[in-house]
Amino acid sequence: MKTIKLNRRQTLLGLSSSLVAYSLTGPAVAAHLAGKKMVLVFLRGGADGMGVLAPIADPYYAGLRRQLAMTSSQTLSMGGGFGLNPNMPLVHQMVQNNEALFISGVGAPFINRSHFDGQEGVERGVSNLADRRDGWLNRALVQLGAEVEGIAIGTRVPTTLSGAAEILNYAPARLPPVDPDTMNRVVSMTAPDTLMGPPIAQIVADTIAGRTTLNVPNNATDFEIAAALLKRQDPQSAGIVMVDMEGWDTHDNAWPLPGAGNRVAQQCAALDNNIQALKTGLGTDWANTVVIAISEFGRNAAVNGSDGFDHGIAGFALLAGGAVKGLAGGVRGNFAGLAPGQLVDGQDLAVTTDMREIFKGVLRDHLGLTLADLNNFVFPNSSTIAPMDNLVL
Amino acid sequence: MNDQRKRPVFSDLPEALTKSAPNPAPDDRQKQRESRMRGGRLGPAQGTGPHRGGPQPSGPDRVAPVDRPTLPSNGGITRNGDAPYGYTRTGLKRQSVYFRPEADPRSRKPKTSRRPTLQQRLVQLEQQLRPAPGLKTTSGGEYYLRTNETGTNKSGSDTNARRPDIADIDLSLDDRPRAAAVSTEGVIAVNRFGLGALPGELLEASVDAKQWLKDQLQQSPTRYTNDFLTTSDALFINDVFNDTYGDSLTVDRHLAAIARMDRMRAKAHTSGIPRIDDVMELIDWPEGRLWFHEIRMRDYLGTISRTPFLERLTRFWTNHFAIEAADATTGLVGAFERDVCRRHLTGKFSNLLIASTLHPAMLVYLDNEASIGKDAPWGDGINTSNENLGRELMELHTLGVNGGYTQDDVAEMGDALSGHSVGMPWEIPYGVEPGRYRFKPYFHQPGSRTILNKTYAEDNDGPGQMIAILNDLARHPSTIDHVCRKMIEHFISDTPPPALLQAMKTAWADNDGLLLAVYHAMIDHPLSWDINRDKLKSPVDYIVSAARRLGPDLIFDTADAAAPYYLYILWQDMGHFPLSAFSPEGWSDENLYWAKPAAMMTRMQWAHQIAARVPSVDPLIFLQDSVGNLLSTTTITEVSNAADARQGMTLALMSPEFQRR
Repeated sequence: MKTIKLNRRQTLLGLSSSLVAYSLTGPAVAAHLAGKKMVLVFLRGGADGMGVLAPIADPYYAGLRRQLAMTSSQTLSMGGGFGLNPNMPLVHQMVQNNEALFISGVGAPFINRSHFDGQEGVERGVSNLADRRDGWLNRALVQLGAEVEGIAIGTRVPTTLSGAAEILNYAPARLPPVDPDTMNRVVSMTAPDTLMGPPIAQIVADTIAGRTTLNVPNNATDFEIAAALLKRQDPQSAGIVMVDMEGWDTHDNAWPLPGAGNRVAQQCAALDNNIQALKTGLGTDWANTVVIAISEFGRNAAVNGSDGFDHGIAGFALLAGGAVKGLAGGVRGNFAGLAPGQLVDGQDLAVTTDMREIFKGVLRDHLGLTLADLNNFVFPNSSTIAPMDNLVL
Repeated sequence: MNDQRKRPVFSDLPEALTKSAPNPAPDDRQKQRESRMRGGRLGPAQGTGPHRGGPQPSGPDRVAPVDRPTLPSNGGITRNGDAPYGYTRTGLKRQSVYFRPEADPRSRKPKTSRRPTLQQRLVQLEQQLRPAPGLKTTSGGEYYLRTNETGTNKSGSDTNARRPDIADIDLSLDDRPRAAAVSTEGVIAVNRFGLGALPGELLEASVDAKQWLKDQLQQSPTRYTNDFLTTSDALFINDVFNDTYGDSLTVDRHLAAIARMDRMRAKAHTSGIPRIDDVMELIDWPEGRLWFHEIRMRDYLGTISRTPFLERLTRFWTNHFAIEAADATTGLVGAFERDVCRRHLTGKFSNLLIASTLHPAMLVYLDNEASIGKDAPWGDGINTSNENLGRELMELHTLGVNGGYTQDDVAEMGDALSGHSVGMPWEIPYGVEPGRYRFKPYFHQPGSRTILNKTYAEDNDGPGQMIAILNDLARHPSTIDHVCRKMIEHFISDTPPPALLQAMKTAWADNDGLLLAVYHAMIDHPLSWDINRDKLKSPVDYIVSAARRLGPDLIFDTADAAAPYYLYILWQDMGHFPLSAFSPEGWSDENLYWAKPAAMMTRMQWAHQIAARVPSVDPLIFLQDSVGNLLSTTTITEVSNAADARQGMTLALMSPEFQRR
């Protein structure tokens, strides 16, 4: 275990003197992985797909969304009868540069309109929660091996990154550091404890190696931190980082257009800035990057009594990055339509793309995982769900 | 649309508040709706996406107010001070139309110098306070407090009538337990069901561990209530609430409520609860100060409490009915814990459930206070009622996600809940008591509701329909299973033993949900006393348990300006805020949720700081006082071989024995 870990972790800051203890030269990164970066953005709360990417050409859209509908002229133009929320000009620019695309009708593996079950389904990558307890991105890291660094930000590692593969758990340090001797003694003392022993041993090793210090401003956002963590890697190294973005549970005031208190508008503007922050922070590495943004479910087609939308079924996915294969119009997926007969339970957009298709497509074409590994291990019991082609250059 | 129903006219609000009010003209209804939309609403917990795992919530995904910090779960530090378009999370410009800062005598100050932002202040403070090793303590090093023997009552029965006070605590060194007198059951009672040992508490609990817990249950869990603010007071302190719904009539009440808060704080100070002004000063909006005060008060009570089992149970229920302190709920969460959880702690679950569901904090948090049924007098015939509270009520508070309800049940529950709202200040002229639960028939979806295959008749525009539904929900077998399971997961094990679960469920059913009986069943069952200590202390309980043994000054010492600051950033770094979960699901009870690498490092760093402050405490004695003889040889060896006292104490605080329950 230790050997694997050190091999995977060869690439870090060469600044800390304690790093001398570790080998700086690990096995060469396989050519197909060289410099590859991936960022998973979880839009927590159930992002309003139709507030972000409005199906303005659908004849039922305006009637269902009523006072919260956008007109064609209010949105930023996209293909396929869609209009992009006007608060997302930066992402729109990326779409026009063929480095971002949207997929409509995207659904989680498991949807019962519960946030908590839905998020667990997304994070575990299974449609039956009993299948796995660890996260699909962690299982992908197990398959990818030591060459790809997995990174979680904050003191609570999301399920998606939890599991057998060791990941770097970065959290901004604010309390003064502990001396290495004390840290090592804590490791020895807690080693017999199966619960606390492993995480303590891991964080102490990372801390002593200087991996838990990062040169970012105090007020850096998680997205800026994510970019910095990937950027500091050796240029030839591959890395995967996950970032959470909250605030998407818009049961009320889900107005999409700019204005005071308009929650969907605020969320879109923030997402726009966050994606741009990744691009800015990654610099030249952006060319080798795929960002995937997903949410646990979409929201109802029709507005509720509080100018908002309750929990629905299908939402959207956003892919961005220099390695993304953009397309004219910038929208993929088969939009199922909003006619009464097309809505699930008479109220929700139907899922036409299982988000595992997207994950599989990116893992296969960007990071080189085989279809067999994807079907059997990373996403168990998913052989009927084919990877989406042509997502990555 | 029910044409037989009369519709109230907005300008005739007094009648509108009665059952048979006339209908409003469409124009007026529209005006009213628009007023609600344009920021005319209580901000619910925006930026409150159910949050599982992940980093500290902050950054541009949590849009912050323009000119003062929000108090989201990150405790008020906003990394991104600018909201797009200059609006706030509640959709309100941050100047109140009705309650202008310049009209408030408290805020008359020179406008010329711009206050540094909270972020800037904290960065400043951090630089100033970055402690040197060997931080000085106020009381000469060791945090023992001498006892006032006459004020101490071992069985606790008399303490009921009095405020807890530092002087009540028997911290005498002479009472240090001799290992021989400490029983394994005593250790488990104090750690698994309590908050960690006060000095001497192990001996007390070892006499009869089960009786020690049961005695606590006989004490009134509401004994702190009278010294605190009511929900209504809290609402009036709440700036967001007043910005949103205030009018000139409420300014006096707002100021009166703030004055009362100040008196409460002064009283707390004279009664021994430390001042926290140095940190409070950083938070310059009233509901944030109130929240901060509430959580420190709560942690302080946990630190000195002689009824730690009641404190743990209170925390369990507050987490079961989790509310995030954000926007309008910020000032309310403390009142919610007192008015709902403490008050109904040992009573029937049905009463607890009704109190929780209809409490203003819950109604506001889950968007129900402005939910209007489609066919309600003020409904528009198209938009249906808000489902948020109805869904979480069944998924989280009662049945559990696999408890057998359907999407139709969720929709019906939303309709049944429509109209259950909160009195607003602008309704004062119409005889409404603001800040209290209020049933608003003009919001309520009329008709009978069918939930879980049972039909509930309309209560002629009264709240009776929902009360009947809640009473049935509280007694549903899925609810009993879900709640008992959660209780075991909280106190005893991540994998509830079936026999214990069954014993608690039987006690519940036999006693119609009397929680006292359920607690007794848990205490009486042998599986609750497994010597394998499965559970990890949550971060807040971990800190509190250290302070119970080492003295409250450890975290409440205001002479040392760094102490409250440490606690404050500790909450952030450990990702655990008292009285403010990240989602309606509450904090996880799973061990693995807390045992993450970065979180473990934060504990170690904190332990290392604390260890420098208690140089004369023998780490082995500390461990013995905390967990008796339940110490592994590995731990004893490592602690004994420590290079110095500070390292030894760091090891003791980080030992598995101290961190587990």
